Amino acid sequence: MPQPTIELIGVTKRFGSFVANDAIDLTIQPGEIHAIVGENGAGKSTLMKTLAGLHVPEEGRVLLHGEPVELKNPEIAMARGIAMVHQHFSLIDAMSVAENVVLSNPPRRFGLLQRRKAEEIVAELSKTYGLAVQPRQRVADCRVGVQQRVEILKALYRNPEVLILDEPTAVLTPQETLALIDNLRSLKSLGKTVIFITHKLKEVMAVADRVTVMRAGKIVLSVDIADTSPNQLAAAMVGRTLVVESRAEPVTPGRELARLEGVVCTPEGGGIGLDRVSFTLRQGEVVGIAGVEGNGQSELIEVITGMRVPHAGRILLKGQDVTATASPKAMRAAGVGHIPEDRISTGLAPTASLLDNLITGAHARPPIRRGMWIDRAAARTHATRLVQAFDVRPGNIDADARSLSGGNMQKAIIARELDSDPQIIVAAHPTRGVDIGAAEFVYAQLLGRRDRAGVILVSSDLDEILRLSDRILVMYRGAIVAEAAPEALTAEQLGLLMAGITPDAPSTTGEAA
Amino acid sequence: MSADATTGGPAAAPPANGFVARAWQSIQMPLIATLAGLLLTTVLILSIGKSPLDVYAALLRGALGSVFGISSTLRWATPLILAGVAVTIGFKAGLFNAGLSGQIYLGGLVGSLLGFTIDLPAGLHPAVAILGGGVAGGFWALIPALLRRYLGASEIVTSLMLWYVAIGISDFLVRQFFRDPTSAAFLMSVKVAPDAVLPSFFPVGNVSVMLFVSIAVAIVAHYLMQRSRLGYEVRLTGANPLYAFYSGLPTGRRLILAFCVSGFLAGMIGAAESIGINQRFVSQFDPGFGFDGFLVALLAGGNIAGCIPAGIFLAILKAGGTEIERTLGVSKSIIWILQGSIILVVSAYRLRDQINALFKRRTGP
Amino acid sequence: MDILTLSLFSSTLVVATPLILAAMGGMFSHQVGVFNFTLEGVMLFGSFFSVAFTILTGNIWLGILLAGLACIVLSAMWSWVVVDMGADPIISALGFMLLAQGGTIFLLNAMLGQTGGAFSPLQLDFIRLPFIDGLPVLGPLLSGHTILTYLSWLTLPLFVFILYGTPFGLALRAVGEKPEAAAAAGINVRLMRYCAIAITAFCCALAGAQLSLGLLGMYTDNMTAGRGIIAFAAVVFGRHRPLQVFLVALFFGFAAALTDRLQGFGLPSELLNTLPYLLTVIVLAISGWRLLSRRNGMQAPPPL
Repeated sequence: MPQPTIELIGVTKRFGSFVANDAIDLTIQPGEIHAIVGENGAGKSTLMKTLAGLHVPEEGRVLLHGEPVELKNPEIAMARGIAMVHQHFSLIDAMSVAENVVLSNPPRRFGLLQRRKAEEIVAELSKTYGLAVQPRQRVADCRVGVQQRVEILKALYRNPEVLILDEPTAVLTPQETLALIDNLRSLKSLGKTVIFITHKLKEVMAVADRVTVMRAGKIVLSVDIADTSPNQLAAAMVGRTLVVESRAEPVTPGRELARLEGVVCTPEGGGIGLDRVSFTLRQGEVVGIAGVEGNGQSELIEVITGMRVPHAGRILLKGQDVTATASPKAMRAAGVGHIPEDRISTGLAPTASLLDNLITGAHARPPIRRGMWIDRAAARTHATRLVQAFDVRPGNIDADARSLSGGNMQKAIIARELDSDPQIIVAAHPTRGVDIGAAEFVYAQLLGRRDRAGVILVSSDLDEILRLSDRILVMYRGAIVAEAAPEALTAEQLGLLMAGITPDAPSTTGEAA
Repeated sequence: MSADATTGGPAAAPPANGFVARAWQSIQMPLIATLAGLLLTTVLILSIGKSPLDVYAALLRGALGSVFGISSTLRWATPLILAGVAVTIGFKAGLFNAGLSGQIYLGGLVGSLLGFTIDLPAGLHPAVAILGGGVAGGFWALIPALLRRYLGASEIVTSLMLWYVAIGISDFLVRQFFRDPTSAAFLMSVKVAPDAVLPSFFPVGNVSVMLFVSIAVAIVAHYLMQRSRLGYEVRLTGANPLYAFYSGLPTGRRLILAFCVSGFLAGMIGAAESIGINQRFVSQFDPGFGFDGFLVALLAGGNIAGCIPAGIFLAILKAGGTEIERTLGVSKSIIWILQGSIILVVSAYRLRDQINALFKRRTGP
Repeated sequence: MDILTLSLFSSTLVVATPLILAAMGGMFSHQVGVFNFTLEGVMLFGSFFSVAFTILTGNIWLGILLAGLACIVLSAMWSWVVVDMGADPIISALGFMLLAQGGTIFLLNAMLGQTGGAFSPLQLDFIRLPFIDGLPVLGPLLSGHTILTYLSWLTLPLFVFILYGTPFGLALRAVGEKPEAAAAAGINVRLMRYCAIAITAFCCALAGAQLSLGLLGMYTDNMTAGRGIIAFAAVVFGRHRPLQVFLVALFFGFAAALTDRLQGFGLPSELLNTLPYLLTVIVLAISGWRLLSRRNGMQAPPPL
């Protein structure tokens, strides 16, 4: 049995009290294509970043060819032959493909940059690995698929033994994905070891030799592809029997509150956007949007909250067509409340006091507003009430908002948003970073609003979605690929849908089409 | 992780909850910067063979040791406080009014113009001239504000460039139409009407009611910024423009408002100088109030009311500077060196964190 | 009206020299993403030190060289504050300008015992180019300038070569475009920034030397009179493109020379002097407008 190229033994990585990787044992064989799959937050990226020298684990050992190593920074990892291509490119748009690739070590003679030599080298690499690029082309003029090839060439230029790719097909078209899969095969035939992180099971089945499934920081399955199936993988990814007992009592849906019809968005710089999305939100219901992050959920939220103007389609709020006048202000006036996914950049003003943050919106209405003034006493009463009702700690409303922990920031934001009594509540990852007790409180709040509002819940926490939603919409590549009640879906099906595979009618034994 | 790849902005200060802790935090950097600046100037004074103690004593004597000295201090404090407030208001909205001097200049022009072209009774004339100067300054600030709001053009560079445009326009108009024929060496306008002159009430020197106006403006502006609805929205726009916008606040309008108010106050400075001190428009009358305004704002730590003590402090430096030159032969330039080094140190955000870390290591866990 | 004479173009080249030197130097800072507004201050220091060191050493070349080094050292103070201490570049640049204004007056007194200004015993020669000097039109135009003027012309090909033909230039540009990518490629971002600012400082020192040693043979207080600001405007105008910065600086020189000329005809010099500044504002407005129209549907607050 050949010496494994990489061995991870008992690797544990913590961020504060959060355990991202929990006693991971993993073996990567030389020359194999190894896929790492899992939901969001499973710990895949963190683990790979440890290999790439970006994280140093608290416990455990890493062995390369049987020899223990300390990968303290990316330079050392590179010197050891491990290169990683990240999900978000770090390319220099104004420079050419060749310049980007050779940046780490440009060919030179007598202090002169040998531009032509660089272009030759890149052309060579491109041919060898089958990654078609134009060495002279400006990166800014390259399509996203080409840019990714440049990123990969950049890593290959350092001649690594192991190449790690983080969600390489996240931003690719289906054709580009096929091309990439071919590239992975040639990399293997040229002796490289490839590890790639993905949530798309089709690709895994198509090209991987072995696959490892991670969930909640642990490895739950590690097998040869030949010995498994998409269904088994999907079940392992999602890994739970759907707990129906703690499901909320459904409420009869009332009037229509929000409707999207055929909404299309194409974000700048390429990317997924929204692909003719249509759905309806009624009063009394919680609509859960499931799906791996980056499949259009953010754009969906942006459209409903007025942060993004769609290129096509209509948005109706309470029966009114607001597409033309969409703006954050207009949406709020129409009764939209928003718990944003990025609390620091859009949910709070970190340098302002908690008091100031809690009265935003309410400051323009009596009793806090008194003519052109802010009634300080009323403001303080308001803020104190919110802090107590939502248990925001510490309760000092004069402290800077940034002094709060992430969970308490979240509680403050939720307190503020719900207090204006919105009829359309858009909650994006509302319990991210919040402790269990507080999360229960948030669920109670959201569910308790159903008598007069409707909730759109976007979350990467499947438990949350399954528990709170009356209906689940699964998003993949910017489109809604499925809609069902939680009872009607098995974990397997959900996993497959999120991974882009459309399952047949519910069956535990059938193979995916 | 490896060393910082980019120059970052201000790091988060450790949370401070008590009043004393917060007061210390806002005064910490200006204090350290002042000490650092004094250190540099002390070294320089020693290098030319003078005694630093003599110099600093002369400084204080010149500023506060005589009626003339106090009058000098107050004379300088008047525009400096206002300049600091103007800059700080811009800061609150997240804007940098680098072209303050241009708004001051135009304010001076329009103020003097109103001083000698129209006829009003003695109580009203100066007030109208100053307000008119303010309007001119506010208008001059409107241009970079609009460019920033609608086109995203950096208000720092545009207002800065417009400073020189203001000088050009003003000097040209005065030379062409309003020149005082009796003065060949200096470019200045004809004198303003006697009714327009802002009279001094101090026994010596030139301290006018404008001093109280400056102080009042600082207090009122502080109050409005803290307590009014507009002030709240301006502050939030400056604290996190994205958050403010997505919360439905009219961030564009608040940006323009803050910048124009800043310009208005600057215009008032120019007008007051012209009808009060110079009694006419004098080319290059602005001895660097723009710079000084920044220094006052930096020393005040972003606190509008804090511009009052900060302005007085800087006024002491300025008033004392002449004394140093007169009695000790040490050039006034040493004060500029002091000012410059204070600005350099105060603007170094991370320095505060490093100093704090230094103290933590010393005192131990 | 005989304005467009040969002597106008000739004086353009003279007037533009400090602008070109400072602007091309300033372009290096821009290349690494540093908003370097200290051009005026460094130029002032440069004009002072070149005279001071010439007087002290009796050698004009040593004087200029030492002035360059002094400016690099002083500018390093600003570099440290901005690069390492995270200071706002504009505020700190204003502080530097004050330091320059005060420092030059103080040092004039401390080093040379004079006030208001100082005469230099030596001045830069006007070099007659051997072959060109005799030519009809090109002769008076191109010949008879100081070496610093010729150097300023050299900056264009030299800097283009450095930026686009050397690994150093590649690294500089990478740092300016995307520091994270540069750091990931193993480039020492901090060092690059210091280097670029030092190059800027040296060029501004030369610009100052041209003013004092090249044109007047003396130093006077505040003799830079805003030229550094104009050079800065040229950098903003031309962004990081050497040819553009060069041409804009040259054009501003032309505008200045023209203004001097037109003064004789009674046209308002003050208004003409505002031209570079107005143009910069217009350019910023236009580029902002262009950027805006590329935004793709995303609502946003007034752009940052």
